[in-house]
Amino acid sequence: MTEGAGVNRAGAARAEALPLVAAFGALAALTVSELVVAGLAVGYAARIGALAVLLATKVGLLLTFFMRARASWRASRMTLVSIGFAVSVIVVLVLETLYRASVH
Amino acid sequence: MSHIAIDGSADAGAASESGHGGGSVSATGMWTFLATDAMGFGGLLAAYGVLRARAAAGAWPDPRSRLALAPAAAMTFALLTSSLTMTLAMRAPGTRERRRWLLATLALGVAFLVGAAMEYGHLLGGASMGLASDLFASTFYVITGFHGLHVLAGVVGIGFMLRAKHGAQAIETMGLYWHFVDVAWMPIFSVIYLWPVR
Repeated sequence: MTEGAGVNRAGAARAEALPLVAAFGALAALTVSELVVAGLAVGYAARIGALAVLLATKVGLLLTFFMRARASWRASRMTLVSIGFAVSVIVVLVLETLYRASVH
Repeated sequence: MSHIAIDGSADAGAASESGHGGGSVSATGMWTFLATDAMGFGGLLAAYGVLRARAAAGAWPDPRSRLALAPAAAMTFALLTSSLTMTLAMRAPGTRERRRWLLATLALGVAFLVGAAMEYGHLLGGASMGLASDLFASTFYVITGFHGLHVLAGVVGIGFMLRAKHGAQAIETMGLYWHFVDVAWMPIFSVIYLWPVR
């Protein structure tokens, strides 16, 4: 390997790292936002809703920028479907339990 | 995408151009494993959600009255940072740099485990929240313990990566697992530590 090729590769690696660092910064900011929202004196539903949106955004960022799920879509879709299915089951079960609790 | 092994040898053809080797056997195998693991975490979180929803008014404790938020936030930042260092290790152009990022990832994983052990020590000792104190305590220990075992397995795996010769493909597959451990922690931190009670 020539010295020039090595320098080019190091430069390319640095350029590739920039979006990663930006994603990391966004994840850190979202985590701080979660801590702030959890302590806000607003309604219960508003806090839960805001925390759920922040959580979904964080998971999306991790899957997109760190796991590069879109780049390996053929392999990753089963995992993404599993995550979606698990979330759906949790939501349905909790809503059903809340409904039963309100009826009885 | 670099194809240099941790020992510096070429690993051409081991990883595909898609970054995580969309068509490679090891990456596909890891994604399949992660699909089953996601269902495992999903089942545990579903149990937590149902038990919490079924609890009578006032019976479910406010998590913040029992759990310390600052150490949990620090553990979250350690895991987040370790995902960044793992990705930088996967993309590092040289052996030395790759090894350095892997070591940083390992250190952050160990830091997370130390934080979890200290939290358990505080809860079981000073805070008197035993394994079977109530449903909140039981589900807390099961879910965080299950996740902690995943982190421990990842730390051991990264340790093997540092000790033995492994190609770029193996490191990328390990990276997928490590990122998933981070993904799994996100709902645990949000739902168990942050979601308020009515």
